[in-house]
Amino acid sequence: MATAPPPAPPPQSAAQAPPAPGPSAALLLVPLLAGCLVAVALGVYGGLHEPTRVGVLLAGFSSAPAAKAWTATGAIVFAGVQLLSALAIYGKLGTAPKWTGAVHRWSGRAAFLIAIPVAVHCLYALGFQSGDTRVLLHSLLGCLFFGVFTVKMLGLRIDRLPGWALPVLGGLAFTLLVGVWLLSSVWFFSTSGLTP
Amino acid sequence: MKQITPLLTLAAGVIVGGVVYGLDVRAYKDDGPPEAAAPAASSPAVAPPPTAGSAEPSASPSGAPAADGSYAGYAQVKGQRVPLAITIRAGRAIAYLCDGQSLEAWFKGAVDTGLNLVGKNGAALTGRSASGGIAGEVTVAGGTYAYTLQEARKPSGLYRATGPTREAIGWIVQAGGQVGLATSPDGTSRPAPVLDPATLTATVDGAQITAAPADPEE
Repeated sequence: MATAPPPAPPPQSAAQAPPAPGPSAALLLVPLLAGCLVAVALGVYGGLHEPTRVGVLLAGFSSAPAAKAWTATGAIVFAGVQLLSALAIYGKLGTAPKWTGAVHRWSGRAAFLIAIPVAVHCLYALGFQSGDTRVLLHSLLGCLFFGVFTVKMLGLRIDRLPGWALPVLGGLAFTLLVGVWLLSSVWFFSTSGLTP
Repeated sequence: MKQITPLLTLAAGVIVGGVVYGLDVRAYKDDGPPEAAAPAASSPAVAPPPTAGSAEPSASPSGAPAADGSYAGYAQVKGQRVPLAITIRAGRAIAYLCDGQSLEAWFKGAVDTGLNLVGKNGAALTGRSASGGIAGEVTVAGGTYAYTLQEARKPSGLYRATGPTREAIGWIVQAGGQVGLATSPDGTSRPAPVLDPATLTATVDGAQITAAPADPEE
C-alpha cells in the first residue's frame, strides 16, 4: 500500500506506458494544484470583490439567509446519501446493490450543484469575511470545499491512484461541506429558529 | 479508461455558477441597495415611454412636487409610530424606515410629480408635498401604511455610515430622538450605536466611525 515507486510519470503519459506500474500518490499532484487554484481563486475573488449585499436566491423564503440555510441543508441531505453510498461501495454495509455507484454519482452531482448558487451568493453578495471566528472559518472551509471537490473529480480520472486517495478526498469534501453547513445554516437555525 | 463524467460534473458546476452569477449581476443592477444603485442612471436605453393613450399617470399622486430638503416623521405601522425620513436632492430621493429593533427598509427613486420610491422585497413609498412636509403611504412587510413628515433641520435628518465589519448603518434623527439599525452583510441586524449629531461620529466595537447625511445621488 505505502510502497510508492520512485519515478512518478505525469498522468498523461501514464496511459501509454505498457508495463503498468503500481499505484502512485504523486499522480495526485496535478489535481491538487488545480484544487488549490480553485480554492485560492474563490477566496481572492471573495476578498477583492466589493460585496453587493444583493443576490439571486430561491424565491419563497422569508429572507436571504433563510433561503440559503435551507438550500444548503438540501445539499447536506445529498451529502449524507454520499456518505452512505460510499460506505456501501467499499463494502462496509454488506453487499451493495448494483445501482449503488449510480446513486453515489448522482447524489454527488446534486449536492455539488445545489451548493453552487449558495456559494455564488456568499461570494457575490457578502464576500470573504474574517469579522469573527465563525465567519472566517465558514469562508475558509467554503473555499476549501470547492478546491477539494475539484481534486476529487480530477482524481476519479486517474487509474493508478493509491486505494486510500478517493475515500480520503471524498471524506474530506464531505467533512468540509458539513463544516460549512454547521457554521452557517445550523448557526442560522439556532439563532433564528427554523424560519422558512 | 479515462472517465469523462467527472469533468462534465465540474463543467456543469461552472455553468450553474456562471448563470447564477449573471443573474446576480442583473439583480444588482436592477435592484441594488441604496449605496449601489446609482450608476445605472446614466444609461437612457431603458424606460420606454408610456404607450400613447392607454395608460394615464394615475398612480403618481398629483400635487406640487416635493421640494429638495430633508424630512422626518413617522409612519403608522400596525398601530406603532415608526420613524421615517426622506432626503430629496436634484430630482432624486432616498428614504429610510426604521423602528430601531428589527424593521427597516431603504427606498430610492426619482422625484417628478410626486415621490415614487422602491426598496427591496417589494417595499415601496409614495408621497407628495403636504403643508410644508410630505404625506403618503409606505408599503413594507406585506402592509401599506400612511405617514406624514415635516421638514427636518439639522441635526435632524437621515444619516448613514459603514461599520468596521461592512455593516450598513442608518440613523433617523429627529426631535423625538434617534433610531438606527446596523445590518451586517449576512442580513443580521442590531441596534445602531448612538450617533453624536454634532460631530456625526459613533463608536462601534471600540472603533470610531463617521456618518454622513444620506445622499440620494450616491
